Amino acid sequence: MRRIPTGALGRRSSRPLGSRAWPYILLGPFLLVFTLFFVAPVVLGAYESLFREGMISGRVFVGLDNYNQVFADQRFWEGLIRVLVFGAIFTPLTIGIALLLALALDSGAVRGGSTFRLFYFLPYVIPGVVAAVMWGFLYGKTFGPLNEISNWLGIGSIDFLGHETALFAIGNIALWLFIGYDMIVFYAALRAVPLELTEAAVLDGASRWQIARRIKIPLIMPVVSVIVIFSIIGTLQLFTEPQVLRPSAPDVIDRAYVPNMYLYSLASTGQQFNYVLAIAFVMAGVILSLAIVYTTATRLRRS
Amino acid sequence: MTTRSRFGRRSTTVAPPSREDSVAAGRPSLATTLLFVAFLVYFIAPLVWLVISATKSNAGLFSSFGFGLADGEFQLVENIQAVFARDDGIFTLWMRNTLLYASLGAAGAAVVSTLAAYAFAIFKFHGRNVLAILIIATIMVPNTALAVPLFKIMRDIGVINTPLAMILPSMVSPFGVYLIWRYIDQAFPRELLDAARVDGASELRTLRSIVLPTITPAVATVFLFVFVATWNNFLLPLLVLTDTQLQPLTVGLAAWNAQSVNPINVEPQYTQVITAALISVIPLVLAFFVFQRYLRAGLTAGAGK
Repeated sequence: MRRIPTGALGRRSSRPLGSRAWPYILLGPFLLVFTLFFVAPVVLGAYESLFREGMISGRVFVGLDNYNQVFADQRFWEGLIRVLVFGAIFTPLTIGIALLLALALDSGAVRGGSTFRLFYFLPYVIPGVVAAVMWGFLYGKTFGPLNEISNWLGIGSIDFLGHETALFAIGNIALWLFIGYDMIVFYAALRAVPLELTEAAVLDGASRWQIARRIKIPLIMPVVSVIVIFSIIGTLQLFTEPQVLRPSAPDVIDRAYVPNMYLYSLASTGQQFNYVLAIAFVMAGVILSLAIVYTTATRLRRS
Repeated sequence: MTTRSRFGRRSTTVAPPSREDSVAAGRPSLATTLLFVAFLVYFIAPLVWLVISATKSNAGLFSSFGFGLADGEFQLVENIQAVFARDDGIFTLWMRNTLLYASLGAAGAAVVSTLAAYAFAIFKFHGRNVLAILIIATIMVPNTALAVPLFKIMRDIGVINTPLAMILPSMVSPFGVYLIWRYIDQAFPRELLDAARVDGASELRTLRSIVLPTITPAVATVFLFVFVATWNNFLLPLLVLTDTQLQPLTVGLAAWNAQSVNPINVEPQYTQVITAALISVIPLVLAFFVFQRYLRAGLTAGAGK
């Protein structure tokens, strides 16, 4: 079928009928899995969260009652506040360290940059479960090397998974897992900053730090923002590390330590399923609102 | 950051080769290098500890310093044998399951994402914009909102506690569609594809013989991403796979870890947990060193550049 191209739009509409089906055929497999395992669960889940199962009454429509119950749920709030504190500390810390390392690498202040990049990035492929198991042993009181070192130094043994320390011990695992990842992304963005800009600044006598703050960071801000948003989404869904460490410190890390653990503990016992759905959607709402607040704030500041 | 046009865009990821020699490149400083060495130790030491500890017996773990070998023992082989022998060889099953879920999920994601991305990149069709916005928006949806409803829908349609419960959801990668779509946009001047099709090449042939060879890096990136994400997934298999025989390494390892921390009527098997953790990351670490270029390329694209 030969056709004369007459510009993108015109040509599309002049194509034979059979070819109009192509985009839908190509999209078909994706749309099938996307609908079944993404759209449908979310939509049906949202619908189900408006009901309640009772032993005697059966399935009853309760409107937003489940959501009201979530907002009044002390255990949910404790977990939510804990992940918010966690995010407020560890999101800026991870991103800050990663950004500093990336700037140092980009400015050529380090020899052997490619080796550092490779090994810093390595924890990215280590599963969160393995990282948590491993650090759990490293923190251990009996044969954990960190306590061996602190004892040898005369500090005495440290309870890394105590009431005051556990959140930081978990945060350290998150730092270990994600600094390298963020750094690689920032580094790639920095490499794309036009050389002429920084060279001109150097000739004007600007220091390395001034160049970083005035030229490089503003230029890669869009990339930093994306990482911030994904970090917000990620940290508030904290689950794997505390869930794996829970057996080591059951008195500190309770079943509702973070909202996702609370969700899991309710869902796995199969009780109040509609209520669990309501918690999931409230969490999604909190996470997305924070991401939107951050996006709006940065956009306002830029304009 | 860069201007984007219909007919591809300026490549920004390739830095000028002279960058290191330019006046903007600072001199290596000792303090910064020391800081980098300190971070290197931070990132590598836990893994080194894992390797060293996998050579010890339970008693050796207690009697020796964590970063040194235990006196007169090197039990790596025995530990590995113990891992594979434990609970009637369930570790082999877990490894097989993880490999199966990760590779089929990733392959499925790569195929369906490529087809969908090609449709978005090449065709104008009804609902294109709405669909595109919907798919891109879902990149932001937290997994939590999905895991619990997924659990419910799978229970309803009866795939819960089957391998499909892990494989099918892993195939959904809105990010994969977006990544490959952008890659096609960048790599191909539209005229080239139009010319191929005007010459009478069928859609599938255009895709296979012209587009696919060029976008292989993007497809490989999506495969690797989904592979790593599925291999590492913990919450979803915990919810949808309650049968121990079907569980992946992550769930199995967490269970062994819990048993060793709170042993009930048995001697805690720390070394088995440590060795199992080591074995379960070896394939990923090897894959990392072989494919890290693709992973990095994907990250860069993922950052919205």
